[in-house]
Amino acid sequence: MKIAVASGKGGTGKTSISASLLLARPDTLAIDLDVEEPNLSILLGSFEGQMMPVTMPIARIEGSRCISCGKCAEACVYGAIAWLGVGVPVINESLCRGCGLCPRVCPAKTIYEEDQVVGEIRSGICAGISFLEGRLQVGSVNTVRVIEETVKKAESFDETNWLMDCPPGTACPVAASLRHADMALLVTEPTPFGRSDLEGMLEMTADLRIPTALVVNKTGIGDILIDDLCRRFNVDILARYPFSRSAAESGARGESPFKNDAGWAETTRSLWSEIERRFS
Amino acid sequence: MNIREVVIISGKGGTGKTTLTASLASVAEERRILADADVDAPNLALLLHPDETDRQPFFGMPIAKVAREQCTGCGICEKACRYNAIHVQDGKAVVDEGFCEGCRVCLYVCPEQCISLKTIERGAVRRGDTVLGPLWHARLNPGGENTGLMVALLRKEARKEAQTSGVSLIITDGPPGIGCPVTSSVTGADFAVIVSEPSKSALSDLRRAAELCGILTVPFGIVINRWNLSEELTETIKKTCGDEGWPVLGTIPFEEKIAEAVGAGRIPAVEMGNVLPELWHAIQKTGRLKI
Repeated sequence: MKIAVASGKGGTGKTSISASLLLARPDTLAIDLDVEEPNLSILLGSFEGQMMPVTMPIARIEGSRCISCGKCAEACVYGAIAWLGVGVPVINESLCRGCGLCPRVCPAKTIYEEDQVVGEIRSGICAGISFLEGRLQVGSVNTVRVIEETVKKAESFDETNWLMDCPPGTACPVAASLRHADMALLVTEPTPFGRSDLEGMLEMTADLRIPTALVVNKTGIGDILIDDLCRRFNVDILARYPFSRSAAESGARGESPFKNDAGWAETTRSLWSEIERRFS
Repeated sequence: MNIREVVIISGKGGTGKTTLTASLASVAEERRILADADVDAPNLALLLHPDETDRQPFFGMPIAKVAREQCTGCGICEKACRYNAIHVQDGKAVVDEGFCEGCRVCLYVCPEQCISLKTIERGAVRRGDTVLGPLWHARLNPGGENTGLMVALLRKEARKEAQTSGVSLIITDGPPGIGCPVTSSVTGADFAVIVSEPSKSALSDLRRAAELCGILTVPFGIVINRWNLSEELTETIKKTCGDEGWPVLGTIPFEEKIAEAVGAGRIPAVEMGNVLPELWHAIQKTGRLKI
């Protein structure tokens, strides 16, 4: 089973709960898809393995053969090719999305593509768990590309059970991650912000028709109810983790509370039984 | 009129961007316009309770559409698409609207010329009046593309209103991460406040957010929220900032009464006490925002 842990709102505890679930079932493949801010390895333990670059084709012009027709600039919807009516067009690399249209439209065949690094994938072992992490290069905006390449890499692993720690929000990076999931486990918190962002997430998993269940983290820090959302979207709360200062401090130091908080570990084990009972 | 734009970002989500944005706005002396650039998880309105005055649909880039009757299911479009957004299913090409970026490669390669463009509504951009001034906010439909474009549109509206109404300060609540919507929020801003917290994860994310500000040449300073949850890690963050030459603008304690105020949908300005005006003063001084 491929489980995606997502949340809408950031900081609700996706990564803490992902790390706990993994430590309870170390035969699961750990995949950090929060490629803008990958933190799963911080909570799991020391990483050993290798890195490989994620690249994307970026358009370039071989100026000497350019016939200055301007067709490439006209075709590019991202405004990445500037042409002033004469001479060789100029490609703005940071706006190029690597769609591959300009090499196709160029009648002089003078536009070619060159791979540019947009991120990296770390692959190896973390705390005895098979581990994969996508990491977007700072300054790049190709989040989805790094996510897709990381998932592609995951398919070469033997493990058939995956746990994907997803990015926050409800936009395309989350959609790209959920696309590969058999179920979505949404982590929320009982605050007005948590509730509002959970609603967006539930709309999204319903749209994508992904079986969904909830975990409420930090119970006690707020008294916002989500019963009506559970009814409207027909989802259940599988576990509740109480807010505890010691668990928060443990996570802050980079130690999963699964290791040093008996109540937390027990909740995690019962969460696994619930997931398996309902979704496998 | 010289307009100054301060954007609040964090790298890591949940460090307190939205709460800080509303709180800072409440102590700024001058008139201001607020913008919520976290368009796929917008929360500023939950603290500011705007009275809506304007709402416009957001379309983004037109995307591909297949005329099913003419499609032969040849799969040439699927091979050409770099975004994995068009697939042949049951003998016909189907566009995955959540992934299509509207590049038009499929239109170009289709031998049957059965692909065209269509515009879909991807969300709404809204304006409302609040006790702290006008709020520009937006909501991207779940699963949507074009966050960066939506943020750019939102900032343009806020700036336009600032110009016409003679307001010199815009405070923007930014998104988490370092990707497309963050780049779109920070590019061209006058100053970025990076909200961190004492945890190893937040420190790792702070480094990436600071590096992004450097690449975009936007000056920035750091606020350490909930500093008392780990005095040791707060010292580590301060030391990192010192070593890197990043200014620490101030610290905010974790206090239950602050969390309770936010839980009740109130701006915790009173609960934060003197910390806030001091912080705003530090931002103005470091960010050279005095007009």
